[in-house]
Amino acid sequence: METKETKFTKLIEDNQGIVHKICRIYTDSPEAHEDLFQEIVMQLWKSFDSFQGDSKFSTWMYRVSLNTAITLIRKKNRTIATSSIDSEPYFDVKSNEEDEEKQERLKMLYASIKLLNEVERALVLLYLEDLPYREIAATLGITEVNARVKMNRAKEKLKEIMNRNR
Amino acid sequence: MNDLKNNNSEETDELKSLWHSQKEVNSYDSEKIFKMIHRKSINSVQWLFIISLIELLLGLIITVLSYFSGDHYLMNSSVQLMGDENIEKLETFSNIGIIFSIALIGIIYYYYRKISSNSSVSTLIKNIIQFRRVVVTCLILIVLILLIMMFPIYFELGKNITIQNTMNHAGDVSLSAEELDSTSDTAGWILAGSATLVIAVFFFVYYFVIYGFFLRKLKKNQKELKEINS
Repeated sequence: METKETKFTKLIEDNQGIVHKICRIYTDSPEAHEDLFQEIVMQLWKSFDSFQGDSKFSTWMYRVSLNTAITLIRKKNRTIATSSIDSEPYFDVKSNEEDEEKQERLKMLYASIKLLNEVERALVLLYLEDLPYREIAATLGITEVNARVKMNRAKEKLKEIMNRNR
Repeated sequence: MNDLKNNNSEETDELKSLWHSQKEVNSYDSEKIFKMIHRKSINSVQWLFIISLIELLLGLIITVLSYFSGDHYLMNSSVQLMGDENIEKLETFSNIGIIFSIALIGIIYYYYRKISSNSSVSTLIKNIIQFRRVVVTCLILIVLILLIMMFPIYFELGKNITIQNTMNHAGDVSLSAEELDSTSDTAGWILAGSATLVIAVFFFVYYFVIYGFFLRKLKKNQKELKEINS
């Protein structure tokens, strides 16, 4: 018999990559990554009843996970000033080809994203995840026009950071 | 202008392709995720443990201090009314209370330590059930022992108060020794009975509110865990 818990754990197991990516852009250590992951899963579980099923599970997951991460970061007062491009970001992903150069570029990409503010990080993540602007706007609770304007600024800022540290 | 747009588009495409080349290496399985959502069970257990510990330690400290103070924080008039025999009884009960409290702290700590989020779901259920049982048994034991220990003391106290009262007003009322004995016995039973009732009601309300809250939460989580494991 499929209970609410088994349904939920299966959905999280299948979509956990989303939460890992969010944890990676908001934390700097494996411990903080694990803590945030657990906190996000708890929040997703608490609000699971609010998931209507009329939207995609992943869209709902982005919204709750990003809200949790941003709220926690604000609470802990982890501002961009605490991140630095020189600091080794926590990174436990590998490219399909195990290509070292690709690994380095991914590291650089994560480190650069971490230098953006928390909302810009969310925007860039959703953009890289290939979400349409309509969904990005709905996830962040802003208008589509506003999402496009903010996204352009965030992309510009990211490009600048990456060029500066190339 | 078009070149610049094309360059930007190429760059972002490249970033997207790099982003999608990530492969998760540190994945959580269903059981781990399941445990994460049941962390609240562990939290309830922690609260129960902390409350039990504070309560037992507070009881222990008060008992030890009253023991060393010599007069058990009792007023002189109360000491006189209780009599030496009852004071001795109270000292013996204090000693028993100290040993009992230390033993309970040890037992509760032992069962608390057994509950870990790293254990399997079935072990977690088993340990939570055990912890609940231990806490409930300890609570019943504490109240029962307190009632058993205090009943004879209150009985004697009630008796002595009546005798003292009658002796003080000997001019007004003249009672035979038999009558005095029977009246003081009745007063003793009334005082001991009332005190027992007050203590029982107080502890029932106290434990029902404080422990009841966490125990009920724990029971609900335990039910959910059982449902999943079946």
